[in-house]
Amino acid sequence: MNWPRQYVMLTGIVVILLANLAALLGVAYNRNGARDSTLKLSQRELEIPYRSSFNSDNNGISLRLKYRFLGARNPYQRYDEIDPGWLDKAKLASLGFNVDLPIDTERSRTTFERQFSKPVFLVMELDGPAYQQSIELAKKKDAEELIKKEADRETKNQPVALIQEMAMNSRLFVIDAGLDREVLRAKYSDRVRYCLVHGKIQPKVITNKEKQPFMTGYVKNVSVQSINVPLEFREVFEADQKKNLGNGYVDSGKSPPFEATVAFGRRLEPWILAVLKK
Amino acid sequence: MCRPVIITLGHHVQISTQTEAQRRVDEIKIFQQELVRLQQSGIFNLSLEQLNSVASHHNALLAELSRGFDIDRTIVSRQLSTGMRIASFLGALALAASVFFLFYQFWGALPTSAQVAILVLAPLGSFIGTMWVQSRDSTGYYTKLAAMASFTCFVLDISMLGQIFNITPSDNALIVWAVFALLLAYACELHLLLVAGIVCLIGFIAARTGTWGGMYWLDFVDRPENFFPAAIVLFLVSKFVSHLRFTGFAMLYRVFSLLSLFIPMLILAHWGSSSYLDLDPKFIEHSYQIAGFLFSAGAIWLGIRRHWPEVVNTGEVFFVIFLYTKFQDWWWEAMPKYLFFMVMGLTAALINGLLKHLRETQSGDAKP
Repeated sequence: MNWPRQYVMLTGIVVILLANLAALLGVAYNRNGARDSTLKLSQRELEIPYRSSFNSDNNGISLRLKYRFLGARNPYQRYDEIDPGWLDKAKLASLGFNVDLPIDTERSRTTFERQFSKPVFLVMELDGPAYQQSIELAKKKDAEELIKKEADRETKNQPVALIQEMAMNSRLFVIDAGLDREVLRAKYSDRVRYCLVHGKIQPKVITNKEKQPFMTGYVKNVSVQSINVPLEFREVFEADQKKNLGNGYVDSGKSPPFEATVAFGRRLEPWILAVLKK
Repeated sequence: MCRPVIITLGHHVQISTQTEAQRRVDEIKIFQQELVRLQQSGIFNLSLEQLNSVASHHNALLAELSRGFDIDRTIVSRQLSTGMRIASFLGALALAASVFFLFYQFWGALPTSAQVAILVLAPLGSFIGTMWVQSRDSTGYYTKLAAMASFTCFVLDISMLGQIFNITPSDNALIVWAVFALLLAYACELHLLLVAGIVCLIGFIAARTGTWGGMYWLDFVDRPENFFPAAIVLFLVSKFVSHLRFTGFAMLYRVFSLLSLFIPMLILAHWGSSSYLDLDPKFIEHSYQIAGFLFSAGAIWLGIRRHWPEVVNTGEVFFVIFLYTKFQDWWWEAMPKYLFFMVMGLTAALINGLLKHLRETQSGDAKP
């Protein structure tokens, strides 16, 4: 490259400006026009993440989005599992995975699991039927725990699953996935209860209690992992941020209550509209 | 390249870079040393007048080059320059880290508009600053510091815009970073920025290959074969793009081309299930082991033929790694450890013997 100084200067400036322009135009497109959804999330769904020593100088605040799955297909998992129970063979087929492959041998299972993960739209539900179902499961778990403790004549440490479920655990559940955004939005039309986000699903094979293999999958990635807190809402999280800087973590059960209105735009990228202390 | 100084030597020879000037100085020094030896051994004798004429020509040339460039005229000066290069390399990395943490330190206390303004202006200002420093820095050391800081600012700019506005990650960031790093590398003749640009370029090509193969772009490392097209592209750049005026650039393209080839091969030689090929993983592993031996041997052969020492060295390193990992597979459990290491030592001696033989053959070829 034997460019005169002016060309080099001009090219560098154009590259920087174009890259920034492209990013900011994308942001403008996302935030202008009709929002895809607007959810009111609390300290149960948004938390300050653990802070590593490398990250200790960062005084910006990003809140981690806490979401859950319900209805494990894996028999060895508890009710607060990470695999979605709704991700069965039929759902995998509807997402474009090849479910005609045999899974009866180790080699064939590997072939099935080696399929590429699929980019999908994930549906998140806030404080809806999935949360009610998790409350029922917590009650059941507490009852089982109580019977076990009575049998063991143990009086200390009463079951806490329901208490945690009612006061602490996130009410945001990933309940469905699809390839067509419009179809999903028509099915889940309540825009203050359901938000759509980008995600990826990976197929896998697990075995049930009868040692029979069956097809399922897991959510490999959710595009919204954290949401940046702008300066105007920083004050609400300042106390937790200080604790985080001191201890490296915040006890999620002791966070001051708040309600954050989070919008998801045309590109399904979120931002905070308002935060209220409660 | 936009070095301000251009020195014309004779009718056709122009020197416009630090590297070219230093090379010319080194040639003059070697010529002077050899001339002294020839005179002392009586092979031929120049008259005093001729010697003075050559010496005054060289002195004038060296003086002119010294005025235009920061050249090393003595061994001590050269040693000090090496130290300065190391210091400026470490300084560039430290300065880049400093910029990174400076952003973080005050980040949360700024409104979004100020954050965006800082993010956009930081790479712009530091880039213009780099060009300004380069026009006044004949050594290149300060230019390297400024260029590295500018590149860091640009990387932070794009990645932190993504963080502020929760933008979905895209592989387009990699190509933009690559373009900027390569622009700085060529404009300021900086190897460090060339490496940064090549790494971003490898990432982008591998991500795009993965996308074309049906993967989500961030999963591109799941299939090591995604790196093979990057290896080909880098090799073609080293072959077809002229780097005569950029010492060491073609070498870096070749080295990273080989790394993009051999590292994925090494991974696939041990984890065949990560291949695109829907075949028995063991068969894939064995195939890549054989390919690893063949390609590394081929790299040694090509490097010797084309006089590319870095290709020979990289080929040798990977040939040995492929060989030793195979030894480990075969004999680590079966052999007593003293015997295992003895076999490895003997193999190293055998490889040395083979290379010595090759070198002698090459020397024989070079004889008139």
